[in-house]
Amino acid sequence: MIQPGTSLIDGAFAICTAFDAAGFVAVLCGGSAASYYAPDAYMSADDDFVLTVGLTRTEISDIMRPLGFREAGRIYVADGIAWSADFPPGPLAVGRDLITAWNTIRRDGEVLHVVTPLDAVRDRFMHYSAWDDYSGLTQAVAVAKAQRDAIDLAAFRAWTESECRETPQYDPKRVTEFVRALRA
Amino acid sequence: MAAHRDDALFGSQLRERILTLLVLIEPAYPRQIATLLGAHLISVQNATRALQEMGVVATRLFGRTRLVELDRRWYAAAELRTLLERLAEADPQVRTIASTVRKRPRLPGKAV
Repeated sequence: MIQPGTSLIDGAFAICTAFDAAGFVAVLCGGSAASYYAPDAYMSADDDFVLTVGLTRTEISDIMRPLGFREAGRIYVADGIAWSADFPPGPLAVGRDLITAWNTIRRDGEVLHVVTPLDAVRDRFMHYSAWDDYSGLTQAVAVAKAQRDAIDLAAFRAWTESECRETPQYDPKRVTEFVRALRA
Repeated sequence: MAAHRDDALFGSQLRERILTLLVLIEPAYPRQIATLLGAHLISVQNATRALQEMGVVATRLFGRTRLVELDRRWYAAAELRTLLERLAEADPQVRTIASTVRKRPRLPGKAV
């Protein structure tokens, strides 16, 4: 049950655990995954989960309601917390790459599935690249710095080259900007 | 001439026309799309919301205006764009509509 003041990350554990108990995998992604890996640098306003199987709105609500959440448009809110929960449409992917592996963290009987640090960086970077969203760059850099050992920069570069090749709207200079910010 | 079809991709003909228009003029705002397509604003807003929930379009605020565009982050965004460009190619009406949209700068005081 979500209590007033429950943090975004504690809430993510509670939600993920509820879906796990119901037999479904909900993977934390987007800005909330960035918050998980770099909490000192960025705190998202919502927990974003992509489900590995498609559930109806009713099925999702049936799992969320016992936690104290209610529907508010397309998102879920609960009393006494400032953040919300959302279930964006799948598939779980970053750009053209399907995500088939993620990290699973267990603590005190709870479980959290969360995209890997590299995928969190790629996702945030994609916001910067697709929408000129400078906050996306900041978040990508924050995660990359906080999780330096878990980030394979060569893999990141290879992915950006592939995305730029397939999506001409992307500006390769964005990658240079990311690397520059990472070294700053 | 565009082939008339009773069926529609993406669930409705309006959704399909919005997407086909967007590939030519994005970003666009709902009222602009409604005017260009001769559709009701509320219908365009509903269709846009449905497309957003499917993940194929994204909206963002620019000042007080909500802009609608194809979501480049979507898993099959490149393939969708190719499909829509192909559909637009075969739809002279939507291309004519798109050609009326001025995007280049205009000095203040000059007739729009």
